[in-house]
Amino acid sequence: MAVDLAPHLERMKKRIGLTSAPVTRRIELGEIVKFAHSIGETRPIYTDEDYAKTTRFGAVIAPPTFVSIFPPLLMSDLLDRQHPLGRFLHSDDVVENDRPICAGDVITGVGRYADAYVRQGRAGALLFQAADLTLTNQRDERVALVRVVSVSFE
Amino acid sequence: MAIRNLAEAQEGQEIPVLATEVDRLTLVKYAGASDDYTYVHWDHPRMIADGFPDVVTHGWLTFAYMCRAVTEWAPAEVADIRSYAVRYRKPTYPGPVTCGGRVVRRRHEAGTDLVDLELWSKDGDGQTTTTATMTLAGA
Repeated sequence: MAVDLAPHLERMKKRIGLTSAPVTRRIELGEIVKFAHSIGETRPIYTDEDYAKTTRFGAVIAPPTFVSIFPPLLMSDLLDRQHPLGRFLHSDDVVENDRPICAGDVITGVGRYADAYVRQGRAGALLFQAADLTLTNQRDERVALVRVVSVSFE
Repeated sequence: MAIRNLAEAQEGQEIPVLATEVDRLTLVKYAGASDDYTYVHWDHPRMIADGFPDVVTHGWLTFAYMCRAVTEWAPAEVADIRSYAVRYRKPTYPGPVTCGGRVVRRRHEAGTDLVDLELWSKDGDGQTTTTATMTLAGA
């Protein structure tokens, strides 16, 4: 029997605008290097301080998807799990990158519940939830805006 | 193989393909490095019970390989990744991964060279699991 998602969707729409508590992380060189290695990245701009100092960034920079360390910190309190669809996967990411994250930066992330919607998939209903994560650095400059969308299904 | 500045990018140009292999150890290392301990990436018994054939690769890890394909062609010294939109179309399971893409448009805005890319990642069966659009800005 098909699940009636309408009441769940109505509840989720009321979450739009809900924000998470901010999370602040100091990003050290070692964490960037470990992340780089985990994705098979070994080039010096992401791993070697002496080389990175000579570049336009003046410091080791994190590889572009390093922003992905923030969704697990910010999403779990935001997403609604009271619906009956037991399986979920990552659906989309939409990112605006203003500047890279550098070794030594202190990054603050805040999440905001952005949207919930249902689509019909081939195998049944797909329930999407989106959250917008805003990352700023120690100079209050925006580093990135990350929209993460998850999809739940039976 | 790497371009020295974004003005060298040509519309229709394919970027060099990156080929790699993901196994469950890779997923463990990536989970630790990215602090993403979601069970879908490591709890094999639960995933099998849920009807999946294996644990799934983190979407962000597949996209990290796609970004490596881009930055090996247009390194960070030369271009910034300004924006992107990634769609995870099919779950990706441990196995071979290839990533590539092409330049769809070159533009110039406010004194900066911009390049728009379409990117893809395929699994060992040649199925496209992930697609993305991306805009690079010249350094």
